Amino acid sequence: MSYFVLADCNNFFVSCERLFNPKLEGHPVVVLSNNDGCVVARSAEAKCLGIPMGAPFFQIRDLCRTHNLIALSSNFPLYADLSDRVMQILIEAVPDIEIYSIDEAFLLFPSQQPIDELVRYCQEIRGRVKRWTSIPLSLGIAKTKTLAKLANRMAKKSTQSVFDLTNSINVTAALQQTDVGDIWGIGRRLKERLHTLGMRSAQKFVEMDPVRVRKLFGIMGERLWSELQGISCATIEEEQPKQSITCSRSFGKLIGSLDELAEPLATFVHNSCEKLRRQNSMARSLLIYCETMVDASVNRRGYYSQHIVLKAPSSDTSYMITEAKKGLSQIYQKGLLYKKCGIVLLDLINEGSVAPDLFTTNQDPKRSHLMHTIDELNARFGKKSVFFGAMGVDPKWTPSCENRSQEYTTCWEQLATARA
Amino acid sequence: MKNTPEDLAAIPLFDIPVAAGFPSPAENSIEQKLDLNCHLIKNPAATFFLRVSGDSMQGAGIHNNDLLIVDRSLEPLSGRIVIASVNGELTVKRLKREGPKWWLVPENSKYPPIDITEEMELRIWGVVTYAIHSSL
Repeated sequence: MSYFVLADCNNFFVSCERLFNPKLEGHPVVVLSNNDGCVVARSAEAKCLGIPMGAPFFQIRDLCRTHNLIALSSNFPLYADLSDRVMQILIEAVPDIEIYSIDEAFLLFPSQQPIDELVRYCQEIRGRVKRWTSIPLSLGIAKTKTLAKLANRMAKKSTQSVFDLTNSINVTAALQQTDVGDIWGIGRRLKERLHTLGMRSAQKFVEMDPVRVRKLFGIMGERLWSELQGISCATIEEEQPKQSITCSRSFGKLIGSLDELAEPLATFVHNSCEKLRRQNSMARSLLIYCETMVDASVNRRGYYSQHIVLKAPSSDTSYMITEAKKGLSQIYQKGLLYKKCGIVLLDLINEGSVAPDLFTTNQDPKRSHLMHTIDELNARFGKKSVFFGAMGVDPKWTPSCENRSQEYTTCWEQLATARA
Repeated sequence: MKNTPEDLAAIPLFDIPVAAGFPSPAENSIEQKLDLNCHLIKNPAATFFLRVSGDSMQGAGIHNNDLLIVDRSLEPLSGRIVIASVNGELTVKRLKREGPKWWLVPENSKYPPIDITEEMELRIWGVVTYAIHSSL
């Protein structure tokens, strides 16, 4: 048996912004999604104003005037860099770790360790991350991943930054005050089913007979039930290669012409093929899609897509761009205004398991060498140091991000200033 | 190839001649032996770069537009040059302690020392380890 600790960065994007802009301290701050659409991160002060997660920006815009709310466009290069630093520190402190998202990681500890010692060590880790990166962490300790997630939630709700949920009396108390829908792994539909069965609190679910749980909710439900009992069904998982890779973006303005539409599409192919090669996969098919302004008066739908099956599995950017553009010309309609497009690479297989095919040219070793050289160059000299002409030189479609902070940690020209 | 003094002075990036065409960093090991990053940065996770603006630290050899290497993991001891966040702005000064009192001291007689008081919104942000000055 082991202890699982979920380390989660508090209000991560806002905390990143505050590192280089101390003026934001104490103010209500939100970070907006791509294209400044909706709220993706809130400071504690912004939460106090009652701004819900995912709120569309136009609905809260007035708060900027009335309550000095500061709304920032998202700055992913900054968040990715700080996430990397936090994870580095965690990995050095704990050998067994599963990075779960940009701001969360599960840490695994042997259960022989006395719990008070473990709590102290978690506090030490928290202090180190805070001092070195300024990012505040919450840590939840429990006997299973699901309970560690709950422990983290309890830490955030209380004022304790490290929450010990290893004691079964505490677990029961925590489950009693938690809505079953707030348990990690219980989706909206399962929550509704449990509510109709009269189970509102998570404790009610745990009190169910395991045979009945299995009958009603299947093996996944039973696993969840066991996890909440303190019986771990999961271990720290190695990162699995993704089964599909998606890349899409809303445009900063509406696009009408096919040529202009092809540029963002080519860019998304470039980005997703890079990810594909990084995990040593190839795609057997791709899906491209576009979204237009919906016009109910003429009964016009807003979504058009085309699925393309490749002649042979590929990870070759220029081949994929050609195929994607062919697909795009199939669904493109003159006169429509497009607001978004995207690509999904599907049917991924491991590079090594692709049988060589004499009749296709896209498995030419020279081509794959070229692709890897491009990836190396872009990794070394910065994104888009080498790119495909189809992506366009001066993109006009890039999303609006009116209030974006500087790339303080990834761009020499945008370093923070220290007054002397 | 023998190492002549000229060869030693140059820092080759790849060990293949440029004329060979597209360099392949994957296959050719980097010959560079001295890594300035390793030398200047002891704790990468806690190290940040900042740009200097102003002349208040001239006496400490820190000039306008210099590049500062800042390590947030180091203890802000008296006598060290620090980045402090003062009233929402990042500033570089020397931290000094006299008995129970702490000061942020500029190194230019044009500017007065800043007395750190209880009411101030002040936080030590990090410790400056190196200042890099361009001679060009």
